[in-house]
Amino acid sequence: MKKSIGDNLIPKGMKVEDGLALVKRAGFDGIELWLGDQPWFQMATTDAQIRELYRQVLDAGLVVSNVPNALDWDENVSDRDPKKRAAAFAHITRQIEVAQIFNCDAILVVAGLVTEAVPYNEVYARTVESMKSLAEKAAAAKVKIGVENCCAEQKFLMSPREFALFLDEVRSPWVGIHLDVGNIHETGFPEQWIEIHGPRITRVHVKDVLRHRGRCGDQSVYTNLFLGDNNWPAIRGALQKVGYDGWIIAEMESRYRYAPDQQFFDTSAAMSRFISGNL
Amino acid sequence: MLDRREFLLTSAVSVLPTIRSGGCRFLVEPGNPLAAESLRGYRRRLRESAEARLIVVPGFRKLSAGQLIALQTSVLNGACVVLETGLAFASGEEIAAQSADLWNHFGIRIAPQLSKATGGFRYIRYHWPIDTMVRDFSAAVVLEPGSGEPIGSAAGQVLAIRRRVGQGCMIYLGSPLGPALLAEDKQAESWIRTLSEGV
Repeated sequence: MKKSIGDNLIPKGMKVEDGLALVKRAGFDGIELWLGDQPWFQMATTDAQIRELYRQVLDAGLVVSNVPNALDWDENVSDRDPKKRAAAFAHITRQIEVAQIFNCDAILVVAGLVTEAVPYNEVYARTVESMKSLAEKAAAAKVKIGVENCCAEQKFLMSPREFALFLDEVRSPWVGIHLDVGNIHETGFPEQWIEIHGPRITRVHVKDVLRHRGRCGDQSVYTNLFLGDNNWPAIRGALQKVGYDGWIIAEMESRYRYAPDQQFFDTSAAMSRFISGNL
Repeated sequence: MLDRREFLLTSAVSVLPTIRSGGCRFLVEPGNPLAAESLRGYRRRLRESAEARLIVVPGFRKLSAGQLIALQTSVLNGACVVLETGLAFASGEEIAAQSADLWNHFGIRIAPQLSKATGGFRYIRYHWPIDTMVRDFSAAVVLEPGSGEPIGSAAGQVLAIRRRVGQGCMIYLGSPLGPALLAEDKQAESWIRTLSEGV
């Protein structure tokens, strides 16, 4: 397995080359580049600028592990507003294009947002239809779409079996699950999701969770690796069981009051320990 | 002088049923809910055939003397028998009874205490017939040294073995595979498919 971390954790105001150097120094193999988060990677960023960004990644001794987006929460494929859906298609299409420039074979999307106003069945039908359509673009580009499990926030696809049925209905080898082991604590156990989805897992996000905080308070449920309630030996065992040997990507919240760069080093060390299986 | 086990093994050779490759036969302990559940799992993946070389005894706790002799006969005649334990929730007396039967009829020794995972559950690593991992099913039977070639283990404990007996072979699973097959566990399915194709 290889280690990566999101560029969204690079402290705001830090130059991209300094951020990439920090990621490399901390021991990561790759970088996750979020469309729509940092100034160096927005919808308005041109292909030429993307190529320059890629050169900087390679110069830092890294590769691009995957391309997620920070835009799905405002522009989702399940929205009732056709303009919002078109915007979602546009930014996901852009992710696929950019992934090709980055020589990367996976993107991440958050597909389907259930709200009081937009009910589950409507979201489900629209999301399946959208992913079928986007699967054709993904197949043509040979880039896999990883649908992330943000179950509790999306109020959508909350059990692993339902998620599997959803992927069955999309019926494309180019659409799988980007599995976040930190998004399952309210409704289940990450190792069980891993066992059920196995070869359909495109990438794995890691972070730890504090179950007792729930999501109703003003304190984040997330924490650094090994400080929370995830059963890390079980997660490691499940990944080994299904033969997952791809990228694991830290998706951390910036939690350090002082020396924020230290979070990169601590996270990298924990991930190495996780990969070694010495838990 | 022959001991009881050797006598039974020797005398069993005299009954030689027809055995062919492909498919599977089941020997099921009646009135055992664990066995019934496990059987449903195997039936999802294996085709039944009255003359099959592979015989699966799902989730068993106590077989009759006649059933044990029949199994011995089949093994000596070239069958491959999968003895799958059903002791997960058994009493001490039931464990002791199976322990005696396994030793007397097949030369397999099991530990008197069941083994439980710390922290909820664990994966059993199988090294044969393929290298794969399957969830433990509650408490498991630990095999004592000398019982056979280890083929599955967890946390340093041997939980599955195989051994040659006569013309055939015995496989003892200290943790049932059938419930995992019923749950569509891909690795369990690969394991039983590979075994059945190789028999």
